[in-house]
Amino acid sequence: MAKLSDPSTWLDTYGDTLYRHALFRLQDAMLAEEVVQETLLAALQSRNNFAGKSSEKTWLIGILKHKIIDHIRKSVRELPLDEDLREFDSICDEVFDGKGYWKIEIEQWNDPRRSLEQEQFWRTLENCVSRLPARLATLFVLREVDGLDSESICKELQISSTNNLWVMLSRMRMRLRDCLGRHWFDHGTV
Amino acid sequence: MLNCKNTSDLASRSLDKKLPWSKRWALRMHIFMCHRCRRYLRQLRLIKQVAALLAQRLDEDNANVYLSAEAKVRIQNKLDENRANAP
Repeated sequence: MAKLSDPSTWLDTYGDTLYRHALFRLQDAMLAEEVVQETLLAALQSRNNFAGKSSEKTWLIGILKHKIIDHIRKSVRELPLDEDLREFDSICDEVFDGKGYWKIEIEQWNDPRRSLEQEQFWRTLENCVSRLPARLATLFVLREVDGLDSESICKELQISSTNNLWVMLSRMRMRLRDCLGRHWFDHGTV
Repeated sequence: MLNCKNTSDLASRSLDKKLPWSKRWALRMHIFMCHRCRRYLRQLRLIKQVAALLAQRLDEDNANVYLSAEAKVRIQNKLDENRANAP
């Protein structure tokens, strides 16, 4: 059965990776640091439960993700959802005319695969995610990156109906596409 | 007939779940005639695929994002504190 390495080495070995995961999801350096610390503490306390089914790194990242969801749950309680929904819709007024047809052009994205090889592209993407309204940024992470199911997402983000979830996903994707288009693809870069 | 706004919502929906036959058909009809929505759907699909890759990238060593030495000391201190207080 796989054994864990010496816990006193975890911070050095995994600290940066854990921090990267946390920072991306929380967009807050101090909070990310706090969560890394909570993760290592929780891992230390539950190290006898490590069954060895995954790698040590995967196990730690799993604990980190749980800690992050705990934080999300706490912070979400403070945000009123109604105002969010109205704010989310504002992008529709920018891009659709009165009859619901596009009033902007949707440019062709040439050779998108080549972009994936460029470091700057990923930074642009992360930038675009960080510009999303907080709830939509979290939605992007939980759904598109972590692949969390609809029921769990609604629960964690306190979304009252799956219908609201679909609308939020649509708005999130529209904003992201818009941002990536304007800041990367439409320049004819690549 | 769908307008582009309805179509954009349906396009997004189609990424998560197979649409019922009538909606799928309506989506296809609109996309057939609307180059903007056609591109829009394609771009949404790309972004979703890219997002999945993002998760992998977080595991890779990235010289730009790391815990500072001070941060590591802070964390280590907190961990040591806890161990001292542990039963």
